[in-house]
This record gives sequence, C-alpha cells and structure tokens, in this order.
Amino acid sequence: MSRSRIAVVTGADRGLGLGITKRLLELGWDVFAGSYLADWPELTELRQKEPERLHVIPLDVASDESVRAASRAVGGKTDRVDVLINNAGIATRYPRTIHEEQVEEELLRIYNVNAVGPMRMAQAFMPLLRAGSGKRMCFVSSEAGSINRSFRDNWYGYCMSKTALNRGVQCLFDELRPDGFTFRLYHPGWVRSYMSGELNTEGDLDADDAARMAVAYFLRDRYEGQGIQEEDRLVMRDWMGREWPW
Amino acid sequence: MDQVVLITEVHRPWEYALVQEFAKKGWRVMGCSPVPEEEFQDAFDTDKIHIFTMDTRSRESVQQAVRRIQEHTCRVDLLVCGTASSQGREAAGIAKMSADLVLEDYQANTLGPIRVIEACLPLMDNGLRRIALLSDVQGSLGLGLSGAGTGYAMSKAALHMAYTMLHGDLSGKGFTFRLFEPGSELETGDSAEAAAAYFTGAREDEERVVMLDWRGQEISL
Repeated sequence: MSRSRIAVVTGADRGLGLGITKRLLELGWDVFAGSYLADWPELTELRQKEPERLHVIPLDVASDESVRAASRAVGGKTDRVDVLINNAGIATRYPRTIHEEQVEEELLRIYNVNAVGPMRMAQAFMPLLRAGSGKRMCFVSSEAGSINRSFRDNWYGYCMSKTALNRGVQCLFDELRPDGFTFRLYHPGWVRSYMSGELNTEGDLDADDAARMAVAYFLRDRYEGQGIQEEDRLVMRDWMGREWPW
Repeated sequence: MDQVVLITEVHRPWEYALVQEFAKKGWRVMGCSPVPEEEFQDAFDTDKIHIFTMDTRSRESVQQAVRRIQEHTCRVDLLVCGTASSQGREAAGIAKMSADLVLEDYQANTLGPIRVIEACLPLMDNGLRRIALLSDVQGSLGLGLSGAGTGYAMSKAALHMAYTMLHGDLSGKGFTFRLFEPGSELETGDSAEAAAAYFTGAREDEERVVMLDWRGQEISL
C-alpha cells in the first residue's frame, strides 16, 4: 500500500458515494469503497482502472457483522484510515402521513441504515482512525433532519433517521473532539441518485458535481486563529456552504 | 360528561403518578402498560381508572388494546405517551455502544408513540384533541448535552422530529400538543402534578413547537 492518504467511503456502488470515490482517486487518495450491491458494475469498472488505489470491500452498514468484517478487511491492508465518509443512506418508498398506517419494516430499515449505520462504522473503524493523521469523520445527513426547518408530513422514517443521526454525531463530537477528531456534517442537496432504490432523475444536482462539492468540504480545514478554532463547533452545512439549524 | 385521558407506560412511577393526578381531577383514565393488567387489580380504589395491557413495541398489541378501550369509551380527549425505554441501559461512549440497544430505544421511544397515535386518532375527533409526549432533555439538539447513552439520545431526537411533523399536520385540524420533560424521579410527585395542569390547560402560543420541563422552563428542540 502506498503512503498516500487513505479514506473509507460507505455506499460507494453508485450515486453520490461513487462520485465521492472517483473524486478522491482523482485527488490522489487511496480509497476503501464499501460495496452493498455486488452485481452493480460501476465500482468494479472503476476498480479495473485504479487497481492499486481502489479497494472494494463488501459492506452492509445495517449489519454489525458486515461492518466488523469490513473493518478487519481494511485493517489487513493498512494500519490507519485518515478520513471516514459515511455516505450510505436510503430514502422511503412509502411516504405516509400519520393518517395512514406506517410501514414499520421500512421505518426500522431506514433508521438502521441512516442513523445506526454511521455509528457502527465509527465504532468499528475507531482504532484505524485513531492511528490516522486526518482523524476526520464525515456524515452525509440531510435538510430533512432539521427540526427547525421541518415542513414534511409524510416522510417520518427518513426525517427521523436524519435527526437521530445528527444527535448521534453530536454525541461523537462531544466524546472525540477532545482527542483531536474533526467532523463534517453535510447536506449534499437534492442529488440525482438512487436513494429510494431507483434513479431520481428530477434532482437538482448531478451526482459527480455533488460529490465534487462534498469532497471539497470534507477535506478542507476550517478557520483557526485569533483565539477561535472553528473545528470546536459542530455544524451542519449544505453544498452551497449554508449552515442549517438543528 | 367526564373527560377521558389515555396514558401509556403506567407501570412506570411517573406515569403511575400521572394516572392518580387525573383521577383526582375527575377524569376517566385509560391506563396502558406492558405489564399484565391483572397486576394492577388492587392498585387503584376508584372506578374512574381502567387498566389495559399494551406493549407499545408491538403494533398488534397497541391495536388490540385500543379496540378494548373502545368498549369503555368512544372518545379520548387527551393522549399521553410515556417513555418506554429509559436512559441508563447503555453506557455513554461509542466504544460501548450496542447497535441492538440503539434499535430497541428507537422501537420503544420513537415508534411506540407513533403506533399509539396512529391507533388513537379516530377516537380523538370529537374530544379535546390534545396529544402529549414525554421526552427528555437528552434528545435536544439545541442543547446538545453530553453524557447520555447514544441510542437513547438519538431516539428522543427522532421523537422530536415526529412531534414537529405531527404538529405541522394536525394543528390545522384542531389538535394541540404538549412535549414534556418530566425531570428526575425525585421530583415525580410535583412533576406529575405540574404535567396534569399543563396538559389540561390552555397555552397562549399553541402554534409554537416547544418542549417544557416540569418547572415550565422551555427547552430548545
């Protein structure tokens, strides 16, 4: 393994995660790309172009066992990870108001992937992240998790999962910031991706464009000087740089 | 006609105290608990209180209990959803986090109230139309307190989002809402009394989505 910087990206098969992986490779990073869809071709094709620096690892962030196995697989090839990018996420297929019966299996599945998945990843990859020079954790969240800007009446599972993710990241921040970790909590915009299982063709942003902006934010340091260390404040920002209220 | 309150998780001390407060006020109380109702047989000396077995972790159990409640009343004025899974089951810190417990907290503290509201809405059309949820300061993103178990804090934050969405949907249909932080067990008596007053009284800012503690202090969501 080269001595370049090393990132782990979840949900890298397609959409934003694939775009983030491509962009990191362009910038010279080594990438461990978590793959949930073994038969989806794009990541395999990218691997053929970058066999030295792209490592595809099977990963289901909703499974303790899978996440632990992925951590062991990465640990078998490197002794450190500089940046963890928690991108994997799913949206609802059954948007229902409280006047309709919620689809419980979906509510649990969305929470398990979107909110618990990043916590599993943080836990399992902690030794490798502590050994890295970046110590940076990035989380793809959503405006849908903002309580202060809530306007929906029928996306309970998705909105609740992103609010819970934001609170979970607050807990991580409180615990790990004193150890030198830095955090990026990010709303990527409405991306033409596969969040609901099928390609959303109506989104505002192309996945590769969204990935370029996300990676720029994930890798850039925040202001430090005049007695201020901006890394000491956890914020959620969007692709346009705007800060979102909790 | 007596007003009717449905309270969940009445096996817990705070919710139990709230049952007594409402009975004192002359309300009919439909108390629900995952503990079998037979165990409450001698707990209350008034015919104003009816206890039903309800495990809010199960939709089937919730629906079954609500069907039985309908045999006693055709109307629920006030619905109070208690806390099913408490803080303290999990240690703070990511190293000790159990994903299974995080999911259990969500099942109990977030999905539980949604199941109960979903099942009770048809009974609330003709009454006071008020929904009260018990929450915790640990769920507040605005405060971002440290020290809680991660799963518990996440489950309460998710509940606050559900509360906000419910408020946006139902307030236009005449519903009013209360989000309440009951405080520590040491304050149970005073807290339950304050809650009963808050849950039944009017508020001048019903349009606002707020959480209050038992002293009436506002907690940011």
